[in-house]
Amino acid sequence: MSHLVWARVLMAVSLGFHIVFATFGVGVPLMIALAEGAALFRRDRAYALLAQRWTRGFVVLLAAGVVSGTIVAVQLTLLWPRFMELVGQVISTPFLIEVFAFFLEAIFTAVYVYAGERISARGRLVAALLVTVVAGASAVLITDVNAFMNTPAGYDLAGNRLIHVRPWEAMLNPSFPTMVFHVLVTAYMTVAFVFASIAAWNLLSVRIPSGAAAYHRKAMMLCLSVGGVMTVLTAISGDLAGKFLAAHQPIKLAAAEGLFYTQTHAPLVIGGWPDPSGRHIVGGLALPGWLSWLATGRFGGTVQGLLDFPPDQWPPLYVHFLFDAMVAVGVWTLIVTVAAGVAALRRRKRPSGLPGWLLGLVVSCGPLSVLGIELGWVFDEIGRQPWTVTGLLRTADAVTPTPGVPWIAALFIALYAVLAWGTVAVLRAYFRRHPLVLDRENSGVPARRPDEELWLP
Amino acid sequence: MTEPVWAATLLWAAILVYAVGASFDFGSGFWGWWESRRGHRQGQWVAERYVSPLWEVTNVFLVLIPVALIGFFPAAAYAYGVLLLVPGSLILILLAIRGTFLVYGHTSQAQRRRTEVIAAWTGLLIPALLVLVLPVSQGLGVRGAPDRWRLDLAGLLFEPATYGFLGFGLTSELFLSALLLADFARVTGASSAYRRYRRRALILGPIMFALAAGVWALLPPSQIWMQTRLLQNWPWFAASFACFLGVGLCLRANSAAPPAPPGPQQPVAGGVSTKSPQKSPGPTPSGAIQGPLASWKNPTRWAVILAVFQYAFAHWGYGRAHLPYLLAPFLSVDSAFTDPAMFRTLLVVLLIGLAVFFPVFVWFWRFFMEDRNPATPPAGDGQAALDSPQD
Ligand code: HDD
Ligand code: HEM
Ligand code: HEM
Repeated sequence: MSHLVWARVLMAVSLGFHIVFATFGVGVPLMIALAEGAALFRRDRAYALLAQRWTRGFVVLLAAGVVSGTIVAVQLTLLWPRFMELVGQVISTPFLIEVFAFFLEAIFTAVYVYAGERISARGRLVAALLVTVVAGASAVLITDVNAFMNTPAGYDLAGNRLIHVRPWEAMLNPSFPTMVFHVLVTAYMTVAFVFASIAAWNLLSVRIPSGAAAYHRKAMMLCLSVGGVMTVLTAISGDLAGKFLAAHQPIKLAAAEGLFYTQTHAPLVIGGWPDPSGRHIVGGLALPGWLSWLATGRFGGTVQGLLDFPPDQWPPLYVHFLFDAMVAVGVWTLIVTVAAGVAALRRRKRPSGLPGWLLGLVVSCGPLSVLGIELGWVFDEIGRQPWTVTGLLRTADAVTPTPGVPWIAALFIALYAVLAWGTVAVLRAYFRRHPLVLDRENSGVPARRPDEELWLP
Repeated sequence: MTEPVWAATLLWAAILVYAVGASFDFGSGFWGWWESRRGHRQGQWVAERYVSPLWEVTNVFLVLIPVALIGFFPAAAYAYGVLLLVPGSLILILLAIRGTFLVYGHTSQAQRRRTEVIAAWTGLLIPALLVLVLPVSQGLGVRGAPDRWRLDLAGLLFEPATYGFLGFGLTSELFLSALLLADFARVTGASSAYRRYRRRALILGPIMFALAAGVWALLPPSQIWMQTRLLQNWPWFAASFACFLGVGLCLRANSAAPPAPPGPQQPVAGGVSTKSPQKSPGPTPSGAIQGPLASWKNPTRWAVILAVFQYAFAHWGYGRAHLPYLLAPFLSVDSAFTDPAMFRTLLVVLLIGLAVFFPVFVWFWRFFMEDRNPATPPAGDGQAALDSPQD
């Protein structure tokens, strides 16, 4: 493989690794805050216990999030120096604001996790909400840089040089609102479903004491409600993102849908194989007119096809599968939540909860959502090819001229394997040694030892 | 000062904060392991207490430096990105191992031992690699022309001056952290650990200073311009040396006896209350530092503060000698400077950010560092357990 391909692989692996933990960093604080809120306002200690156990896991995940984030931040400069040079001239503001968001996140997290009994339950709720806000802010800011890469703005070109730089306009570039909306709700949705999966998995295990079953059921229903709301929002924001693409990045939408000819009443093809030589999509399930509706809001709307653009600007056509798979995840989680909601309403009287097969479906939602995040990002990034910054900087020009990338890529991939293994091993060991204890007197009260080491993640 | 020089000064400040914070952090990791291998549980305890709270804040500063470089001097970001691919990647890998294993070690006892070893080794290797940036920034090992740069790693490693930088970087890291840990041991009443850390600081200090001078002497002929400029900035280095002597005097002043185990609510001599409730006034020193200093704060605390000033002065002198170059002699602050509109926006963001951050940080520091629950150091080696400090 060539130098450039290795650099792209390394960047994709690093970002793909970071996004998993980053998503938890964004979503877990919200779930913790909701659990703290439920504990406070419903006076139910099960939720306090839930918040405490989620927090334990969060601290470990946060560590992997911070180190992998530090890696991507520096690696962007090491692997794509031309890109960062351009970023520095136009869109470095979000990066700098983000540094402060990180500071605040570290501080609020430490207060929430380690202040123990020194702050009240209400204080803990406030701290958790603050963490949620700051973590959300860091996601918004970094996504903003990516939005700029998709639809750059805020400068004029004089030959190759950028002049008349307007940093705020660059920050408020066209794809910023839709992208941020979609990224945030998918992060919340993913974490809610992952936690729902864990609870459903526990409910499925054979010999589970009834107190624990009630606890897991509460956890699962809380997560499913959040997940359900967020799935609906995901679909809405995804639809907005699609309409945005039609207006601002038509070539990406055309590639996502495998649409070659510009047309009205364009069909939405699910699956199938885009064939560039035959200039049509082979197989797949076609829903006539629906693509036009998705892209423009009217069945008669015109959608631009790939042939409107020179072939050297086409992204790889396999992004069609990535896109379809992402949407499939959204549809699937929506179906499962609706089914779970209906079942829960019908069984309200009986404490036995959801039937086993439905619990099995709930278990599937967590991993699938994580997959959805990965698919969405990979689609977004590969769908922008051959550009790193649309129309301004090609990926091939952005890459470092320094040799040695394959070696470095191998080292990093080994590192991520170790980190993934270590994180899973530590989490498992921790929860095995600290099983759920419900019958203790102070069961719900977070039992933070006062002498516990101060440990910022 | 022009805008580019202001930007360079901000970058300078971020580097100083990181250099000091990282020295504390990495050095504590090393000393924790060193003490633990020798069975000094108390010294290890002191070191560990210190590594933990600082880790993430230091890390954010590490992120701040490239971010500031990218925002203020995009052309320099390009140059350093190209040059530092290999060392930079190694630093990232080591940092990742260190950061995660520290957390693993704190979550699961099974990883404890491994964590200590990792903290020690990464605590030496990461600073060593980071220090390599200094000779590179002076143009050592940089080959090719602008836009076709490459780092001649072998050439860099054959340069004696590189080892001067390495030795200086590592000793100053260990010196600073030993000093800080001595102060921290004193505050928590860990007297045997205090004695050992103090002795190490006393030994390492002169070595470090000799190495700093050695770097100057080892610079190759191509660097005569740098040698001259360093000499021209001698007042700053003189100030640094004065601070260094001050450190030595302060440490001597506290030498006579181990610090008294702090008793409950022991009033500080002179009646001025200090921030830490557990502070002991220290033994009555025999030296000349008595009087106002001792009544205000303990000499060991002063030694730490003076050491930070010592670094700040030397760093300022070095920075002035380095100007106007960001990457000598290819890139100057002017030629690498960002768009002025970008610079002003970043400045506004920085000021607002610091205005938000500082009050929160101060509150946080007091919340955790000064009002925390009593912590008992393990007994010193072979000596009776200390009273646990009360607050
Ligand atoms: C759990 C994850 C998940 C799920 C279920 C969905 N998405 Fe998504 N999608 C993402 C996770 C994601 C993402 C990872 O967050 C992306 C990548 C970049 C971005 O802006 O968000 C994304 C990007 C993205 C884009 C490209 C935006 C761009 O490149 O500028 C479009 C058009 C959609 N999505 C549309 C949808 C639709 C119509 C969905 C149907 C329900 C959907 N997504 C479900
Ligand atoms: C859209 C994708 C991303 C999201 C949602 C995201 C979000 C986050 C969050 C929430 C954290 C806090 C750590 C945690 O809670 O796990 C984090 C850490 C970090 N992220 Fe990302 N991130 C993304 C991509 C990136 C990229 C591309 C970069 C590089 C420019 C980056 C740089 C960092 C850094 C440097 C940290 C560590 C902060 C520290 O030192 O405290 N992130 N990220
Ligand atoms: C965190 C979720 C993300 C994932 C999973 C992801 C994934 C990828 C992938 C698969 C590539 C390779 C594309 C190719 O070359 O074919 C890539 C490249 C790249 N990404 Fe992302 N990305 C993410 C977020 C971001 C963000 C937030 C930024 C900007 C700050 C960013 C900046 C880049 C750059 C500069 C490249 C290299 C140039 C290019 O290929 O366009 N990525 N990423």
